Amino acid sequence: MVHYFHPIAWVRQMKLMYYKRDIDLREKGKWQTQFTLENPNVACWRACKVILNNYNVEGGNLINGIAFYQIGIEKNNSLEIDVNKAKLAIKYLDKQLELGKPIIVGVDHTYKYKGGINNDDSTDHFVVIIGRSSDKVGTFYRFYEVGTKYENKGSSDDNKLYVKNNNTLKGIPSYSPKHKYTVIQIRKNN
Amino acid sequence: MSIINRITLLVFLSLFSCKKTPIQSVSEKVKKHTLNVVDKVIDKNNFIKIKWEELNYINNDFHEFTSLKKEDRRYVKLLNNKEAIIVIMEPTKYNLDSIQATENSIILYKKGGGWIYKFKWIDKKRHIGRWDYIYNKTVIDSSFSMYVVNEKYIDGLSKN
Repeated sequence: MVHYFHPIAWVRQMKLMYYKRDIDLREKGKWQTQFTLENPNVACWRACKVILNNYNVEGGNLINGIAFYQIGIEKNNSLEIDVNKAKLAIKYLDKQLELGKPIIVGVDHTYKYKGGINNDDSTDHFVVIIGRSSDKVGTFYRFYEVGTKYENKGSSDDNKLYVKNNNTLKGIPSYSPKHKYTVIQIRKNN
Repeated sequence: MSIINRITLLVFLSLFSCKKTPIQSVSEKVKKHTLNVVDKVIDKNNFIKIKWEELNYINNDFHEFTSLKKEDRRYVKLLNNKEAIIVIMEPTKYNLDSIQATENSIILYKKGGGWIYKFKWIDKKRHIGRWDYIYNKTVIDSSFSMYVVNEKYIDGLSKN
């Protein structure tokens, strides 16, 4: 048997090792707005659960009252990030996306929003991670936004959460540029 | 006597003339107005362990929320003096600093502050009340608030 170095095969192998392949789980009819559900103003988590259900995925609940990964907490007028947890959380997102499963995540957009509604005092809203890709800005995760009644906004190409240096995911939803999201919770799929 | 001496004397005399009793009684009142009063003002059994299920308020009346599956309906349940499950977005267990009772309300103080959850009767005979979410001391968020009925008495209401 003769072994030889093949540059194209080598580059392909390196790409597989160091770059993540693009994943896009978006499909017509699988997005859900929170505004057609009962108590629409507080239905973001339930809308995210409907989306998971549309993909035959169960999960998204708190486990014994806490999130699977709590990446950040609002404290002293800022967001404290657990960088190691954030790194693990990204690995989990990748694993689930590669299995074809969307993931519910909690985002922060306003410090102590309405006093800090959730029991982590930090999560303001929920969205669903639905893909992964990269552009000239960097690697990003696509998300379904449930806080709009328009499907083109909810499933927009512009709904991107970019990976930052501290492993956090940050982005702006297409429907509302004033909201600046930071992912601070990852919910577990069953 | 110099002016400084006169002022010192005045301060000294005014300090000794202060009564301690009213301050103590105020703090005692505050203490009494926490958990113990729950027993006195409203029967504790009406709150602890009772599930308060959300009602739909339509056409000036209260109805069971039949458009939602039972497991998707919102509710409030005090587990004990320190914990409550409150379903606003999702079923969530909250730790409480204290439960305070006034003459016509019960107030849950969430641990860490930020907001309170305040109960008042709407129709005591029908066991219907309202939980209000209050933040920034006075702001009520109606989306986070709900009309409720003691789950034991929900069958007496019309379906909707």
